[in-house]
Amino acid sequence: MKSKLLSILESLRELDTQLIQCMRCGMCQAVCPVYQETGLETDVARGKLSLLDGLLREILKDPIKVKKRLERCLLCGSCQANCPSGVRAVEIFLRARTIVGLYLGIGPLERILLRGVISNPRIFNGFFKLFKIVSKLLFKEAHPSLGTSCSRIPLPVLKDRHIKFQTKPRETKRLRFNTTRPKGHTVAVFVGCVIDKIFPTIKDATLDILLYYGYDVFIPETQACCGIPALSSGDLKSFEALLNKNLEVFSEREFEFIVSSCPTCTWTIKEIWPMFSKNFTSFRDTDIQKLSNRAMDINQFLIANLDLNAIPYARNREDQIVTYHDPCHLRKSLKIWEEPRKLVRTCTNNRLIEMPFSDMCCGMGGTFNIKYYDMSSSIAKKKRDYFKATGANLLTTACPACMFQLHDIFSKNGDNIEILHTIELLSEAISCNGSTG
Amino acid sequence: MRDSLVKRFESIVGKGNLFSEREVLYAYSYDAAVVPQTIPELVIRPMDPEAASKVIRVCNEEDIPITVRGSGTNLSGGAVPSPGGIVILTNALNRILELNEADLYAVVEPGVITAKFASLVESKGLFYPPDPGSQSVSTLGGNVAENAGGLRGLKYGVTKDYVMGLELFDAEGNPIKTGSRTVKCVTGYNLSGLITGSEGTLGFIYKIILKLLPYPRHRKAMVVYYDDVMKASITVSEIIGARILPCTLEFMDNFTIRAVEAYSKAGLPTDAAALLLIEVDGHPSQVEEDSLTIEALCRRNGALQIKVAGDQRERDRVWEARRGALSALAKLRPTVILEDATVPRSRIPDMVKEVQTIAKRHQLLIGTFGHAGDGNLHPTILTDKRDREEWKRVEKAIEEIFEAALALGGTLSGEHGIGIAKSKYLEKETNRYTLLYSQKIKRALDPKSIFNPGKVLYE
Ligand SMILES: Cc1cc2nc3c(=O)[nH]c(=O)nc-3n(C[C@H](O)[C@H](O)[C@H](O)COP(=O)(O)OP(=O)(O)OC[C@H]3O[C@@H](n4cnc5c(N)ncnc54)[C@H](O)[C@@H]3O)c2cc1C
Ligand code: SF4
Ligand code: SF4
Repeated sequence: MKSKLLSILESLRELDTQLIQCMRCGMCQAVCPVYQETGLETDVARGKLSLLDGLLREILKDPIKVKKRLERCLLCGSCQANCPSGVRAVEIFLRARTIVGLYLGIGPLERILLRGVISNPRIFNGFFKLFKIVSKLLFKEAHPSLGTSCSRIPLPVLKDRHIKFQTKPRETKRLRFNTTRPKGHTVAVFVGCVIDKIFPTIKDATLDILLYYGYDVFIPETQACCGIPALSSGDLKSFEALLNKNLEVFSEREFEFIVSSCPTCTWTIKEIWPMFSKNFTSFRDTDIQKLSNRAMDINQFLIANLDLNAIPYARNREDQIVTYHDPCHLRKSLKIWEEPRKLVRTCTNNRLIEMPFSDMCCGMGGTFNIKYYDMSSSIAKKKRDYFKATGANLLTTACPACMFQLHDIFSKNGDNIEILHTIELLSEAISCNGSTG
Repeated sequence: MRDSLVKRFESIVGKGNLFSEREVLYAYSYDAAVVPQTIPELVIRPMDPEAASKVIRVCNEEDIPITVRGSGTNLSGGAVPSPGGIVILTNALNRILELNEADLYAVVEPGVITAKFASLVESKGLFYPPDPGSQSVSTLGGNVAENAGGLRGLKYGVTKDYVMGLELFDAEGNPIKTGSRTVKCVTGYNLSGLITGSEGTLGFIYKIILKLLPYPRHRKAMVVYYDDVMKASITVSEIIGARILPCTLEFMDNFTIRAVEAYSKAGLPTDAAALLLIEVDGHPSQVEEDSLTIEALCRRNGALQIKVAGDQRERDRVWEARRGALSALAKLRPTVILEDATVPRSRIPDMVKEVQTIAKRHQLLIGTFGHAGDGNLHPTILTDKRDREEWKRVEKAIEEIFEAALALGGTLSGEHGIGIAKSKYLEKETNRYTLLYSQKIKRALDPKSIFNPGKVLYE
């Protein structure tokens, strides 16, 4: 234990220059969703950073307890986006988690899920199929139009969750290719686990749109998870394995951009991969850079490259009132908020109504939702209240993980609402245009 | 702390509101000031005032120091626990009890966040002017205890000008009531005046009656650049000489302008010696007229550049540089020391010059911005507290800044308070008798010195 503590301290020392940037002003209290729930200093970035500082200065001696405190975090980046001192809090938190994980190991459940399942696409798929079969027995329908299910019997892990299992394939016809753009531009698509497993319709819509606009699409079947769940659990080893796998499959063809409809994946590829690439020797920094430089969010890509003026609005949604929720990793990490709004406006004939605090986190935060479900739900409830304030009945957003969380909260409340990814909305608008095959 | 004592506190506030884990205690060992940390023995969060009163009573019986904590954004160390003491949090006492639109006052608990209160008040067409830079997180209790200022001091005054009455617990946990819900009130001593700005050393404030104003119907902002601090200062005097009281009159020096430009690339003139941000508010026709007069005055005093905001978007742009000042400076070096030495407003050019000389003498980075309307400057020292040698120079510089402010007829602190950071300089500004007088008050009201001992008064 002693030597492990020393090793942790040694690694943490590398964070010193970043930690010292925090001037303890406390301005992060205004935006941290977890702090706003609990009012506890250990939950806000200032407190978490001070705990690391305490560990580093050997005033705090128990890294496990500090790690537990650090886990009460959505990694939403709200603190960082609002920090007058420019503290890169999310990077610090991720690094600290991996340092502690490296020397003290990761939890048994995480070990099975991360190393056994997620790190291995084939097993992951099989596992999910099996899960779907079992779930039929375990779950019953909860909200027909949202397509959620809840447990038949009360189970401690599931609580009163309303789970979105998998979207049904859309009834509208797939888009026919439009050949306005000369062939030859290749775009790679990074699908991401949540889209692949839960919202395959977003994947379909993404593909359709890219093909419709005449792009060659490269979508490696065996692409792996982007690695953020592993990293946030402190599992550098699985993260490395996943990175390796992705580098391998995406090197099979040349492409100009790699787009994703999951902002967390885009952010991970763009910022987190290069951030950690120096930790590994199994591949080259430049290979990572090549991918990172080309990574783009789908909304950003479409607005930058296409003329959307030609698209009429989705007429089937004429009587709906629509609003938009900003995913944290899209708005605060990637600083993208105009582009998805432009898409929504285009597709709804300018009927976008802003909700109050549209950039407030939905409370999902990946594993945070599993570990602190009650807090996560309570944050989502605020989101629901703001949504309700608009009188809207169509909620758009640009992140599948947010969508998963939003399905839960709206379903639990029996709300009459539809939740769509901006890309799904766009592909509908295009099919309204009569371009379907 | 003894187990039996912890149990006693627990029976008052409940298990969930008493924190004794070392990690949690450590996170309450600091505030926003650059001063040594002190880990408290316990952190307690009363859910209602009665519980707070009981906790205070036990502390008094057992001689346990209490540091009340709002949001811990204090810049003078007042919210840093006293050795051997506990922290009492006010953030669960956060109800707005009354908002009286007919009589223009509100009654609040101390844990209400300043900006949330101000925006609720605004939604009723009313106005709560004190706007400290930390308002998005600071508590109204903290504002009262620090007599917090802000950007609107010149025209609208500071927190004390809005405190109509207070309810607080004394050292025995007994409720004390001061002031009233009426504009006029001379019943007994003006205890609100004594408690406001007492930095948690004289009692636990659990209820505040705040004065409200009608929301100004119109406002207009402009940003003006000068090649000489003196010219900016003369403009300020002439604006006031023309019987105009802008609600905002902010100043930035060349170092700060350059820092903001380097960070924001907004196209600020980096050769300008001074920036003034001026905003007038009130009746639309008056505002327009005043704004024209001010513009003319600025021009006559040789302004390099004037930008008047026509609409809300332009107003945001005009405000951008000033809003970005602290964060642009903060990014330059790891440690930021935000001072608030204040001088009579006509002495601003002398003070700015003094600060520049001090910076040069000690080879330090110091940017100065602040409130030109009320002479409250924020010389901001950028350093790295890990560098021991540089730190010595910083300490020297801080002392010299205080001396300069006093020599110019100013004060140690315009709004950040004395806390532990400046208590040793207090006597210098006043005299020994004043300090003794204050100490006598403290001893009479809090004989065992349980409320924030070691703060404000140097004992
Ligand atoms: C970025 C930044 C900008 C700032 N800008 C300004 C500014 O423009 N103007 C300004 O004046 N200040 C400013 N401050 C300083 C600070 O925010 C203010 O002093 C504020 O009033 C403190 O409020 P708080 O809730 O954080 O109180 P805390 O820091 O928690 O406490 C402040 C003091 O008040 C006492 N206290 C708190 N609540 C009570 C209570 N209920 N009863 C008795 N005592 C109590 C505490 O014991 C402590 O001594 C700034 C600080 C920062 C970090
Ligand atoms: S806002 Fe930034 S500098 Fe201020 S306390 Fe939070 S992390 Fe630290
Ligand atoms: S990342 Fe989000 S949840 Fe975590 S400390 Fe920052 S604001 Fe809070």
